[in-house]
Amino acid sequence: MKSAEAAIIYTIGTLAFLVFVTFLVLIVIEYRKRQLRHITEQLQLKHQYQSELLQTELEVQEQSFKYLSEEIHDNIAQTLSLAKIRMYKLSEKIADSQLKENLEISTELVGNALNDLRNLSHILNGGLIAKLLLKESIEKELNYISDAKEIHTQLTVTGCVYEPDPEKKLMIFRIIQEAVNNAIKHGLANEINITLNYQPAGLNIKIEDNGTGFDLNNIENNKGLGLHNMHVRAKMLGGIHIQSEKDKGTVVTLNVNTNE
Amino acid sequence: MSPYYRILFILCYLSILTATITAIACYKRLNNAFRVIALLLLLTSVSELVCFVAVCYERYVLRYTIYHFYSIIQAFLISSYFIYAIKPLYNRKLLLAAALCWVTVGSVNILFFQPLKELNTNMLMVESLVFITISLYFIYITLKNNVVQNIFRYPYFWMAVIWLVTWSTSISFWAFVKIIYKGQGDFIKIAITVQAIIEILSYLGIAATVYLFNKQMLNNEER
Repeated sequence: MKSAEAAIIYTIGTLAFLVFVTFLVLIVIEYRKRQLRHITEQLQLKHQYQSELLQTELEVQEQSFKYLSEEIHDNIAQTLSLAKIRMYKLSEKIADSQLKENLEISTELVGNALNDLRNLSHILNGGLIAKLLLKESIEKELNYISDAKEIHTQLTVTGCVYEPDPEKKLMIFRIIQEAVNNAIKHGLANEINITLNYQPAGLNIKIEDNGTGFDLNNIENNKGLGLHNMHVRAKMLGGIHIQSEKDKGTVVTLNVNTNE
Repeated sequence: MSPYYRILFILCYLSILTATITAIACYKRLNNAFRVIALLLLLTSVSELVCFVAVCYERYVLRYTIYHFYSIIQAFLISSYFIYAIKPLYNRKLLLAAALCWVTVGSVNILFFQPLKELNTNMLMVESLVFITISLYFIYITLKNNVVQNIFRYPYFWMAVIWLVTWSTSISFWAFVKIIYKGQGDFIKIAITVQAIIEILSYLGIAATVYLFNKQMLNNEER
């Protein structure tokens, strides 16, 4: 083979290789783009599916609450109301003063139980909460707690007040309810402060208690149903931050995007 | 050496120097794989300079001897680069195996096929075949790996492309180099110029990849 022939073969071969590598790189880049697009779509679908699943979960829970609320209101409360009337009428007919006094105390106790049950029924009823203003629902809940459990509660509202849409309002209320219940049941708190801070970009809610607090690391790995639901709801609303230390109380901060 | 080839060599050498200086300047922020590249560039710039001086003084045997040993070290360093890139951890045995393998190939070539007074084209062709295969394999595994989000910003991908260009174009050069160097004329000039341009572009590509290297572009294990 002559030098010139070898040089021509080499030059053509080199250019062919360069074209091949260029095509290979272009194919790789295009393939990778499609692969990434596919992964993104899959992730979006997964996220959408999870979101719908959570929504269904919460709807089922709301239905159960509604059923319980109606049962309390229409059945148990009616029965107790009837019992209270009969006890009252009976006390009027009794001449024995000690027996009469005992019966009056019992009537009052039944009356208290009836009030508690009615409050509980209202709190459990999502439809009613959605109709009330958020501030009113929270006040109602706090009053119920203060009356029933002798706990000092306070609600502070700052900023220009506006109402979130009913679905969000119900979720916000359920989160507050869960945080308050946790403070009483697990934290043994006797003081609960709730702050609603209305901002143009969203609503910031702070629930502070003076309870025993808890170790966040232990809780993160082993979330109970209540805390789990709280996180699920908060994820759909915006975000939640829980700050707690043993014997130093707990602060739950909920950020709600009201613009979405 | 004619003035034209001298200029071509100087341009090639400047591109090697650019890549070497960039690699040394960025050495601290490079990971192990790219530090190996920095070492390879330093070695290349020294050996090419010595070879150039040897050619100027017509010491061709010295030049070929340097090429023989340089090729073995170069093959080992590029293998190490790929080992670090593919398997960043627990790779001592692989590095040892690569060293043994290339020393054996180089020694067999010197002892039985191309002694020190000849240009080691066999060794260079074996290197070309091996590194073309590894580069293609690397591109394949990069495509399979879902961790790499943006391939444009993935330095290993661009290095694999550079190796692929360099070795796939040089394989035919090494196959015909002895015949090409025997002759004269325009075609030969064109062939050597094409080879020089590819080398210049490859080294500038390496310089750019090293300069733009950022550990954030890699996944945790690769850092």
